[in-house]
Amino acid sequence: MKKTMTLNLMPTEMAALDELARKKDLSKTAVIRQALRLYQAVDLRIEDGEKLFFEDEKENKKTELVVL
Amino acid sequence: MKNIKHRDEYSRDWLLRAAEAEDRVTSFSVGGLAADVGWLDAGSIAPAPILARFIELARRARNLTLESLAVRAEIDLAELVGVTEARQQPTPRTVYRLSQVLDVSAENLMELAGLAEPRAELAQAALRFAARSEPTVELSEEERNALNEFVKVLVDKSDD
Amino acid sequence: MSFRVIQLLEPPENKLVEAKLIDTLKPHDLELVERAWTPERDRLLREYLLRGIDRRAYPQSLHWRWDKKARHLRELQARATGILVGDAWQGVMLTKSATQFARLQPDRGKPLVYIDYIEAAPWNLNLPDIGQQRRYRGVGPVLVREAILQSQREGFHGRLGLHSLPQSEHFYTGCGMTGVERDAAKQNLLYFEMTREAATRYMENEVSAT
Repeated sequence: MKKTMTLNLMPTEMAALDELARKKDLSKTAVIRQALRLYQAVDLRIEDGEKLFFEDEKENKKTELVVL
Repeated sequence: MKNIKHRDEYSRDWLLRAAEAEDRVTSFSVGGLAADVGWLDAGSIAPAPILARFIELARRARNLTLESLAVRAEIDLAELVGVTEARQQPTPRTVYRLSQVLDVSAENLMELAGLAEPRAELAQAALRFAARSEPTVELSEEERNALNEFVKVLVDKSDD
Repeated sequence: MSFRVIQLLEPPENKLVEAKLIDTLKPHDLELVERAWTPERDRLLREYLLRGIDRRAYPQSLHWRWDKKARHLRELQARATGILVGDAWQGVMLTKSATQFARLQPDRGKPLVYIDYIEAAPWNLNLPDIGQQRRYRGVGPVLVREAILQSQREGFHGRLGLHSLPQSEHFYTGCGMTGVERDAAKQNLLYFEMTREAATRYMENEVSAT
């Protein structure tokens, strides 16, 4: 059973949402849901003690993205 | 449980055709990272989980506790626990001793433990064993057999 | 928990057998799966050992434990799907939808449904080395089809991704998936992708083996 929520976004946020929806070929709702899933997955892993990195293979660099 | 009617049904024909792909393989399993899958590289299975499983099976089949198995096999309990939890590679001697107590061929268990192919550590360990100060006449028959076994394997694969 | 009635095939006459496809499996269900499968896994292992077969020929997921995978279900993006015949689990699949993206054009960078784990029950493997024939045919194809449906429902147009165990590569090729590249980060397992076009062809049985 789906629940409904109204989302208040700034123009820049809405623009970003529109752009992501276009790029990912998803509805805006789908983008928000994907973002939520990703956010939750990251949060759970960090709670478990794991770390999230961005890796630049060409420059051989690793940057920690999210720090608890 | 609700029975949801879907339009996404398939015909028997579809199933017959699709199942042909399944016939190409023994298994369609897919699964994650090496630690979970138990694979070292795309060509071999890391022995630890399989060996651990086998030892557990065989132990329970004989109604032995881990402690009594360790005692009978004259091996270190800590090592045995590490092996049965797939955290640790057993030493060749441990595998050999387990094969005797669990009544399986030493060769098979060595193979299962990934010890039938010589590796650098094994070569070194065997050399140290052979170079020990105790004269070989004082090795028990089991120990002599185990040593001969390793030497044989090393000689066979000496070009690797 | 919702279910859908589906069919599998039973050799040798390929008789249609009624089954239930259930998505939204819970951790408790995975425990039940493993409780049923563990003794059978052990039986197979014993058969292999008795025959002294090279361990490289073993089914490559023999030592798996589905109860240990239950923790993945904490994630919103995760979904476990299973097939039941009577009250026996015939196959299980774990998918994720938010952390993997397509590598192939024309949808490069777009989300897909990633098959994290999939396995048939021990008695549904064809194991000629020990004289076992699978009890039911179609478990793999039906689960792949379900992953495509899930992908379509998400708005991903049927796109799928997975890293295949070596033993399973021919199956995914046979489904029309493309073997893209080996990933060093995943122990050099071959990454397969089902494009939206290949997914459409799969659903309509128009697969040309790649």
